[in-house]
Amino acid sequence: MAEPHAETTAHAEHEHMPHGWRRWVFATNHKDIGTMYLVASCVMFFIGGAAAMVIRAQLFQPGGKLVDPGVFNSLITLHGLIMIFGAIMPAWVGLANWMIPLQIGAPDMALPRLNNLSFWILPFAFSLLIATLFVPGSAPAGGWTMYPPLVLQFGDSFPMLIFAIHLMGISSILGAINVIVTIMNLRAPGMTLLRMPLFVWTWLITAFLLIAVMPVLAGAVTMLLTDHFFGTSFFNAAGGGDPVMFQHIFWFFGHPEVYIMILPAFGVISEIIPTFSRKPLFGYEAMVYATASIAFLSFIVWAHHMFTVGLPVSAQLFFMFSTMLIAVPTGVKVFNWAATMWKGSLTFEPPMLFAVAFLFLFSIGGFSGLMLALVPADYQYHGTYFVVAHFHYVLVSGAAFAIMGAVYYWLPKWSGRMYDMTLAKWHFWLSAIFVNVLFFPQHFLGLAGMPRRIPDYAVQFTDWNMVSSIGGFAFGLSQLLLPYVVWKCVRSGKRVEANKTWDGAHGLEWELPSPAPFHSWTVPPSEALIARGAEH
Amino acid sequence: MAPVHTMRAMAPEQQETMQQEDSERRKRVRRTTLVVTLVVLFFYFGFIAMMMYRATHPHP
Repeated sequence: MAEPHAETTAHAEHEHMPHGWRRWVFATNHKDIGTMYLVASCVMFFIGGAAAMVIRAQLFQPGGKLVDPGVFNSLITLHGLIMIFGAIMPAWVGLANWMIPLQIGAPDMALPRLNNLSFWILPFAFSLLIATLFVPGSAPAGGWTMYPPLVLQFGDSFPMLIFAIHLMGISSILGAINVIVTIMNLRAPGMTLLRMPLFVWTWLITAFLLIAVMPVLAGAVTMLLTDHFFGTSFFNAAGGGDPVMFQHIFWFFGHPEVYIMILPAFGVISEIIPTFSRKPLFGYEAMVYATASIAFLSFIVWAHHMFTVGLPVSAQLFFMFSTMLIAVPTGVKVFNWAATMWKGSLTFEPPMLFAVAFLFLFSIGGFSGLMLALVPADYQYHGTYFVVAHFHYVLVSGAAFAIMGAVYYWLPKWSGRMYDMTLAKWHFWLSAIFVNVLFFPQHFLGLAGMPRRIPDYAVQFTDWNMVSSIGGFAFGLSQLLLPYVVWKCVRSGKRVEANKTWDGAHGLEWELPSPAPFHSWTVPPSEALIARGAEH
Repeated sequence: MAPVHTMRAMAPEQQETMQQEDSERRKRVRRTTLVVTLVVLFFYFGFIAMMMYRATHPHP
């Protein structure tokens, strides 16, 4: 079946590939839209990163005067929103766009025009969000959690923030609908659910999480909007409302949101480790069930973010134990990745380096999460830099490292060229070292009592803040290597001849030529090909 | 959803089967999209309705 595919591909290359700006503005091809998502996510990563650099410069020593406290708080808020909604999530949607159709043998996403719309909403959403820095008064400065009554005190920037959140939410929901519809309906004949690659599985579960919780966030911010402009009192205590209820609704969205950012990472790691261990993934089905269990549990743990608001003891116990339960399926995953590597023929190319670092560093984030799950201990950790250290280990050395690993893994398939391996390894080692210099000291600061979200601090916190800031600048600078490696690869990388760039790789994407043709799988792959790819 | 250029290279009976499969698949795509969209709307309005109910029926 490979021949007819090659035939139609060659035909399609000449006849159906749009050129110029129209190719991108009116894009309906999943690869083009995937590329646009990845580029946009990279741009937002550097904008959010620039905010982080200012934050770390301000905190380099006590009494920092680089920015005034109001601007500092706005930068904290925008950094969080931009990194979550602008960098991590779009990167995953970009990878989903690129890889899901290739991996399930589909010619494209099921709803290509909707796909275009969900991408093009994003630039407007983020322009609106960043524009809040320039409106009179102040940009939103109440943190990415937008707790009332604080968030209701901001002037013109408030409706802009709410509208931006709505737009990002709509974009994510449309993307999730597309993923679900594509996976449920466009799998090639023979591609059964339990033959799907783990990346597709994790994305399917992520998409269900998205459609369940993004509307909840949208509902919450709509109620904030009506409280502010239409005299309702959903969260206004003076009018009989309950501000703590906003926290419940927000975290009902917010906790699954963490898994929305990390489940696709589990999928990527489950692709990379078997490839560079030259062994099938250990416990494929257990991985699928573990992912589904984590997704289910993510709906019943939200109040662990708010142990200190005055919950009843029974609720505290329930949320403490349900949170600790997440360690079980997560442990299954880490064990399976380690078991996949056990006695494997390991090599350490850049994707594998990022995957192994992910394993260690994400586990550190997981363990500090368990510490935070303990109610009595959380009373000490809550609102400190320990929490900041925890979620940055999960999201930077977890989600972001997995995204970088994925880029290095699939870049030769996307571009048809091999990147500069030495530079990519430099990127890895600088990132892996400095991410720890940046975030590990924040555990000590938190345990010593340094509160988060403050522009100044007591002198006893100086040393570790200096170390953390130095790590931050070095980590930030080293990230410039990633776009350079990609740009150099696309421009002048050595051409990749084989379909399969990595000798241990399995999956339908590796049966296609490199670069993957503009129209792929116009004729579905044969069952034999699917069975060969599904050797989990 | 096979593009037109793929179908052009096929025999008429193959084209017919493919068109049938295609229209069946389109129906399934529409149905799934509708169901998923309804779930989204249910969660959005459901949470707002829940809050409105809570506001009008406060705890003792």
